Amino acid sequence: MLKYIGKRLLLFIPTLIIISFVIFFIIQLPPGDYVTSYVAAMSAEGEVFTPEDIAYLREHFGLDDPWFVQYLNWIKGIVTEGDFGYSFEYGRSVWSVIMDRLYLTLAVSFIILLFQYGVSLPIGIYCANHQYSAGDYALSFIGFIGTATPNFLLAIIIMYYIYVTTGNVYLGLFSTEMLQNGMRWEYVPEFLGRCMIPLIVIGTSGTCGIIRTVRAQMLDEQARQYTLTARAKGCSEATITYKYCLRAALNPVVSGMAGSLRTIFSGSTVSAIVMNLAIQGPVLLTALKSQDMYLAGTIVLIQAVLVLLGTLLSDIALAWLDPRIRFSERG
Amino acid sequence: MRNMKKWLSLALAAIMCLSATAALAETPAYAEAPYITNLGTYGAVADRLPKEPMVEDAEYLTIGTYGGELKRSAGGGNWDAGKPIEEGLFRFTTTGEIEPNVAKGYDVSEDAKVYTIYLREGMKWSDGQPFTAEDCVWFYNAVCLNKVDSKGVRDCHKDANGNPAKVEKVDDYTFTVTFETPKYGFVEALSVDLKWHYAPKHIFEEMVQNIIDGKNDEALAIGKQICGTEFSDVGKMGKEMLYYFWNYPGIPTLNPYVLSTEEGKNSVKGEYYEFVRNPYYWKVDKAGNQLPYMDKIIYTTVSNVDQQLMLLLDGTVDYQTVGMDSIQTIIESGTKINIYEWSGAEWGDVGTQLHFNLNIEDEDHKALFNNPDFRQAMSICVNREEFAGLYSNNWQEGGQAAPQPGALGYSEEWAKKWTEYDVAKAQQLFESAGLVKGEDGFYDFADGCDFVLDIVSVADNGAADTYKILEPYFRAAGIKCTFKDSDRSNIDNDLMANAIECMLLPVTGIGEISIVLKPNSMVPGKATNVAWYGTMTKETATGDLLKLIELQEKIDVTSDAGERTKIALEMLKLHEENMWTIAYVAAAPTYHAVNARIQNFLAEGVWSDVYRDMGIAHCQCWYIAE
Amino acid sequence: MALFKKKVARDESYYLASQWTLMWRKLKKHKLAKFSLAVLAVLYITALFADFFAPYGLEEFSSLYKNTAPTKVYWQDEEGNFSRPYVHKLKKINDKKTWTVIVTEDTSEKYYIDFFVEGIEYKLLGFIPCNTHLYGLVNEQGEVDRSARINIFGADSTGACIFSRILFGGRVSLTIPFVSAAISFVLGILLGGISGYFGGIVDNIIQRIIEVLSAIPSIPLWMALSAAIPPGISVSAMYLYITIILSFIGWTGLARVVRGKFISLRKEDFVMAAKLAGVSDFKIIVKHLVPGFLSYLIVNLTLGIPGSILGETSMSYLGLGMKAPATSWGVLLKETEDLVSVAQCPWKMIPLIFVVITVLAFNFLGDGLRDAADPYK
Repeated sequence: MLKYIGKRLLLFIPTLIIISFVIFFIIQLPPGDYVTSYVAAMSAEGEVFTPEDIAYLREHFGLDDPWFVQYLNWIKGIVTEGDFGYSFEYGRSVWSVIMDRLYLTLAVSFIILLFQYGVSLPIGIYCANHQYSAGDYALSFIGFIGTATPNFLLAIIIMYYIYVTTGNVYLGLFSTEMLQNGMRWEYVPEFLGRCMIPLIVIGTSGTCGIIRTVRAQMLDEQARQYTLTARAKGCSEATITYKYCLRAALNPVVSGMAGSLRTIFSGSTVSAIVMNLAIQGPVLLTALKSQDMYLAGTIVLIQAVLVLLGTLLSDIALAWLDPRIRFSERG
Repeated sequence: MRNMKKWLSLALAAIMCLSATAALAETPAYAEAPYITNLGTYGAVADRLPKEPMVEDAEYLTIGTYGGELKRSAGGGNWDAGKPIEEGLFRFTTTGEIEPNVAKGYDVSEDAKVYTIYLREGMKWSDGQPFTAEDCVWFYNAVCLNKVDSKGVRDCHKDANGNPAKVEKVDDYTFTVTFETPKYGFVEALSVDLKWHYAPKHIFEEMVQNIIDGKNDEALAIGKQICGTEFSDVGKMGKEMLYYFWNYPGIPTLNPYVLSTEEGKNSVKGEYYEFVRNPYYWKVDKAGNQLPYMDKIIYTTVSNVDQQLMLLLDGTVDYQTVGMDSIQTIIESGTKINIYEWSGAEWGDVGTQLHFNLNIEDEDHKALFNNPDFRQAMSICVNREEFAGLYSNNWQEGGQAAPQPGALGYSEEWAKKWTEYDVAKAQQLFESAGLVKGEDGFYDFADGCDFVLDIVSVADNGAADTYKILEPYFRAAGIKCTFKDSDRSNIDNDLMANAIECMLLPVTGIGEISIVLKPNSMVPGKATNVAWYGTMTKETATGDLLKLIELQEKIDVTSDAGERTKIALEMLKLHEENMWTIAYVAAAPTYHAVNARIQNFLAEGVWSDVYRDMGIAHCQCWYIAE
Repeated sequence: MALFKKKVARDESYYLASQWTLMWRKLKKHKLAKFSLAVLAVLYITALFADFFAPYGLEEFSSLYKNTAPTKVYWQDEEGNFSRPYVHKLKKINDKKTWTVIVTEDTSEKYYIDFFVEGIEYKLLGFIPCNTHLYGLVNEQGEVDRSARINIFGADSTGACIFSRILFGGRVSLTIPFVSAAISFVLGILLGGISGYFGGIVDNIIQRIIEVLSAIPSIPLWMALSAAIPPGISVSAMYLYITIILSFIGWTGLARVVRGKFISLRKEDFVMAAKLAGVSDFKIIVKHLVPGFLSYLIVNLTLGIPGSILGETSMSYLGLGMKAPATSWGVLLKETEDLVSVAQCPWKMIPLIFVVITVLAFNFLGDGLRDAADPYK
């Protein structure tokens, strides 16, 4: 197993080289560059630019080089000095921009991930064990409403009706007062109340997939011969459910986790906007849209590293869950 | 006896009154906010004010009380927080005249080559250091001439030949601006192009000198010391710290409010930040109270208009400009919010302006777009009454791209030009413009080529909805068109490449209170991001467009104010005759939603960039009455 | 005797029936699946004949009806007697003092609901010229009057009938999302299957490709696409192309799941047996391994559909979504996504119900299919 992990880690290097190249290519693919979007944004605010101004800006930002030269410089900086380049938008090093929001992002994404799996796994198991019961239907129904409603809309509906009934707007995790005075004990109840909205929005939209997956897998597993054998041997239902079926049923959930790890770093952009949270997602969104290349490139690159790690971890978890799986052997 | 008493008391009252007025004339009794008194670190208010503080004495202003905060929401824009507190050397009154502001006044020599500007004695920066002519002179000579703030010498400082002016100090409170050739309307131009003309020399001198000398690392280190932000190149740092100076903590200003230096409240990119009252602010109200009334302006960052609206509804935010469609929600919410309507300065509703690229490469299209008949036909083939009803839910009326009532060049005739709905006439005009109706019912070029009008706009600004109701009219008249909206940077790229045919987007740049102030905004080749003349310059312009450019050049070298206005009117006449841009709905007013606790809001105003948008409402005079 | 014979006949038909016949029989017993099938049939038929079922066209704008609530239908006349159902025309006043638009009914005239009335012309199924609509309004003289409207689900910001738009929008939203879901589905199963089944170098290569693909940020890709697409291309075609392009990237998630499953199943006895019997690898994947976790695949497919419908909503922020006069459920949902719509025009949320119904119907149908396909039940 260790040999296998070592081999996989070595494979990271060529994969990352390809990924960084592809990422950089795609980010600069839309026509125009950062200067175009910068000039556009400033013109919208009433500033006037002459063609000389624009040429000066482009030279100044080093955008008059071809994109692969920019790419090579960027990679050179990363490899030789650990320097991820410079954000045009913020006028600072990319790393300092990322650090601004790193901790809140990690905390928020982690809580959300925990919530998603914590809620959806038990519900999925319940639905499978009570297939076609009222509870199964009700939970499916709620889940599908959540999936079929855009998060934006759901958040607006919930916030508006809370406003109509209580007269308060719960926008973001912190109220203006909390931000102004810092956290105090008396704010805790309101803070918890504010946490509910994002949890409801994300809970109903993100959990449905996991619930349905676990439910379907459990149903498949329960119909298998080994379950029948176990039951015939007199195993308790709990043992059958948790020791045998769930292990096999988790397979697709674990495979899918590779992608979840990536969102830890940026957080979901939509939910960030809905919740008005200062996390990485919106920074990435604006960086991609304005072609702030080094900032966007670095965030996406870190996400890619997380995807690689996530894939590796989920492969290891697969082998751990299911003893039949052997990766090291030759197919 | 009783009579005697009455007389005595009257006499006593008279004496008291007299002595009170006498005292007022000698040493005015200035008052300060309890916020400052409680801090205890500042000296007497009279010492902090200049000798002759500026008095905010507009008629509608009432004497306010100190305290409280103005609560706002922020989208992170530079100007959103900047314009309301900006202090130029001079400023505009609500009637469009120039009045002294930071400067006490000015003189101009007879040949209009030398302007002498007088400052207020004893005025101080927000850090308590004296503000003198040195700050103004140094700003121009070190910062502008060396382009340290990335903007360089503004148009207002250039004479007719484009040569930069000389700025020299006379004494601590006087400096001169000298031009090689006569410069007319410098003060007005200054108030439009540059506004402030100063920077705290005592803070920036060393940093700027290092930038000029090319010692970038030293400059960056000093910059970090000043405002705590680490920049990685001097170009960006110069622009941020000397142009967007109000956005950084630790940079003294002359503004009523200064960004807090407290951690967690001092970043305009953060979730929350506050601007705190400037203890050395140099304006007082009619009763001698040092302004501003409110202690802080606090900002909660939001990510979209809906969030702004929600915070307004529950009273977390006091002030917000809002769209017409959200007013009903505000009213029905029951929160005490006053709605004020300001007129706009734009020509026609900016969301309904249609412009054709008069400089398009394809000769057939170019000839067509340059033909006034075609533009007239495109204008009159739309039923404006129904269109305006659909567009604005009947709040706005159909109209044309023309100066607003009250603005220079306004005429009812122009405002109604080409607004009569007449499809038959439109079709006649299409034919006289050289189009021929094809078998499919749509017009083609004379050579049989299909004519398809490609309209573009920026995604997510509502243009797609406007196009949806506009397109059936064009189709009914026989014009086949396509629509594409895309990300702003894509559009701008196409604009710079002259690859745009027709645009449904508010980027004319035309539209100011008086175009004498910004004549170049209605002339080809002087600004970017405009569609109607594409990449046209003086060399490629012909006919009336060339005439327009020549007139604008003439305005620059004309001395007499009356003469300048006359030329401007000629320019406007050209616009009226040609209608290079057309609009379908009259200009939209700007709506302000102001929490009822806020007093002294300017009830009737004009929303214009040269007035600094909400800045003309002078938020330093607002106060709270619960 | 006759009875006995009949029973034998039925038994024989049961044992002789093909797999598909068996599935169909089981499906017919699954009540919810049958009901879902009926719901879907209604949705598809109304979408196909939307021109007929919709009382108004997509471009029948009206400033009078802009943002107005569902039309009130009266069953009783002024005296309280039952009457033929009728509606009133609206009146609108903009009150500048209170900044509100006051909408009232103009009770002076009645407009009766009638069936098979004349309306705007259209081509049924794309080639039969026709102008009959299922329902519409006639005035007291019995003539068709199109100045008054009956909007059973209210009107949108152009005064167009939301019910009509839902029917027309179904044409896009009930078809195109399936194309993209299907492409992702096939690619995911195939590549994931190959990766998991063969393992080794093949697995390694496919997994690395997946890693590279899932690292690609979608926004710049969309922006590049939106710049590259020429104006004038039909909106539905454009939408179709974009969904197809995106589905070529979107298969990676499913592929990883399929692979994970195959890795654990490939050493099972039944696979070995099939191999020894000389069954081709492709056939083993499709016939023996895929049915092993059909439930998951159905879930994946049914969840992909709302994802695809909603995906369009976010694409329109970059100018890539459907555009007028075309409409889709994604467009309708996007028009609801603001506070003022939620507060002032809650009826604009009705399209949401249709999306939910469709997704639920597909899901329950999928459940039924799964049960039907299960040979052990």
